[in-house]
Amino acid sequence: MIGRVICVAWALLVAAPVTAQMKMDPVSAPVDPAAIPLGTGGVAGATEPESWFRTGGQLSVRNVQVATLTPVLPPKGKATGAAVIVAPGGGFLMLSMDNEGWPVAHWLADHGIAAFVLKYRLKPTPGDLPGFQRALVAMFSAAGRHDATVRETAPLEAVADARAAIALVRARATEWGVDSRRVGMVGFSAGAMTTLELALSATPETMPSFIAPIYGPMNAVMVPAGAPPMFNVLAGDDPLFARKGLGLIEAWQKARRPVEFHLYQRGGHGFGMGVKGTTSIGWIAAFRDWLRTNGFLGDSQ
Amino acid sequence: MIRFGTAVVAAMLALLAPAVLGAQATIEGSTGPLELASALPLGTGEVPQGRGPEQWSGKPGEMSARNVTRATLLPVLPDPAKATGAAVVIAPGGGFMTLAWDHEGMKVARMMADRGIAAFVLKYRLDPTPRDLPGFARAMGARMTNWIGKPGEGLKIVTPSYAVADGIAALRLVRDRAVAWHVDPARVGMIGFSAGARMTIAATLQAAPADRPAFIVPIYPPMERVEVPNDAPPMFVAMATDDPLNGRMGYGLIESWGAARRPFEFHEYQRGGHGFGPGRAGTTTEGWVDGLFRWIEANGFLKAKR
Repeated sequence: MIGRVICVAWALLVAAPVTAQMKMDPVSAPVDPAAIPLGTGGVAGATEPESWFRTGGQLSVRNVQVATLTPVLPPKGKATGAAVIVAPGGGFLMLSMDNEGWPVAHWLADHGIAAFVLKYRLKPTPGDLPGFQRALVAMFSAAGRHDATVRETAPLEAVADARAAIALVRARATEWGVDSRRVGMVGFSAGAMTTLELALSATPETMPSFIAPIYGPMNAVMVPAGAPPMFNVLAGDDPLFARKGLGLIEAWQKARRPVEFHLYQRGGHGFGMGVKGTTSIGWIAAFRDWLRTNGFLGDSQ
Repeated sequence: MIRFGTAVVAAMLALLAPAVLGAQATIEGSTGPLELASALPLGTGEVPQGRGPEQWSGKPGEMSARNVTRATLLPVLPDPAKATGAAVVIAPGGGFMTLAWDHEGMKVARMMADRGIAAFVLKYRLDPTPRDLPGFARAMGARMTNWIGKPGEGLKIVTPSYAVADGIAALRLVRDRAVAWHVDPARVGMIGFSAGARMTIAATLQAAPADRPAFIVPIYPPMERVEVPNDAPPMFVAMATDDPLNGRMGYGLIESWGAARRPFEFHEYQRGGHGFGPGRAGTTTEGWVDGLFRWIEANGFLKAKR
């Protein structure tokens, strides 16, 4: 859990004083020459430039105004033809690029799945880090309330970026060695909300072939007839989304759409690739097994 | 809805008792699997109005029992060099009318023993059924129809008290002989499939605290809400969304555990139906035993507590 920004933010809510624990160090943007601008426009009312910071060794970004997609392709000879858009979380105020982005993409690519890290547009936050921290704490404190029953939806910009990402991967499928019928999306927390929102609103052309919301909200939704197969993961001790029913899973089943759900005993919110010493460490291998048994990895695996 | 109900019953029959009902595979009149010679009697008495002696059918390695009138426990111990001190009692399923001895018993026991966990396959007492196969099939069909009931009513499962008593007696026997079997009495859990899962939950809720399993693993159990004491053991549940008996019936069981603030883990696989046993080939249910093993380890049951 150490170094996971969301968990630190959560710790801040329950452990006063609100300052020293979440140490954020500003850093310059990492070099990402492969990033492709999605051309989806800017963020209305945004004044602060995109900026990067490090917390407990993990890189995050905020005030993203231009969405990009970074391909992380599998080694030659290993590609299965499957592709996954990876949407990190961070409450639409930041993106946990290390914890929920690049390592996930590299794991998938190592297993023959073309991964594409989505840096989607965010809500504007104050330019100074203390002001940003206050905004973050306020947001997670609202999300974690027990009476937070109203389904929050992802901002239109984030969903538009996800839609553009699916369209781009399908448009360049041949070049990237991807089968356009096997382009799915995995998202964490706010990224899970974005992923789900895309699946609920997409046209056939922009519908992901499968979705994997990881520790997202569990509220019931209206499931469209063509909803994609869903792989869903949550930890039983998630302070934001556990113990609030499993309406989302039930909704998928009622709509007779394929769904698989893993509720790990421990892992908290923001476990990324999994927290050592907990069973959450097993989710990504289970995800790959699920892709395989659903035929998304083709005949090669 | 009656037609739907009939289809479910037929599906359940096919799933619950394949070795018993599949005419080609059935070998009637067998004396039972050879390993039974090392089973220990539990001494819990006989089934009232039983129709023994117990009957076995199926090919070697795929056997099922019915009309079990006396309970026994069969140890499947790990290589001493691998033994962790953890133990599990394994209760196969079969609607309290049959026991999927190999599919939901011996196969899983060997997987546990391979991982250093001492396994004990429980042959619990069953409800009496007609001794002839067609009569048995009719009795089983009638039971499934009763259990399933009308749509929206929920399952109406009656758990025989003697099956629960056998579960509790099995836990006691493993703890009584813990030294001989190199088992830590504080780390004796229980795995149950279907009816065996139902019995596992009942035994956990009815046993005196000292007799409770240290952890429980109901596999494709009824998902009904239960009363959970605030010191109930950690629970691991696995099932499939296309389970015709227990699927799409809500999540009362795990919600009850959560409401009591007791630890649990839940895996709902996309495909696998009812009765996937050690895992159905070509589905993600093949991963559940590994998932269970990681959970047992993460909960500290593979190591002695100080």
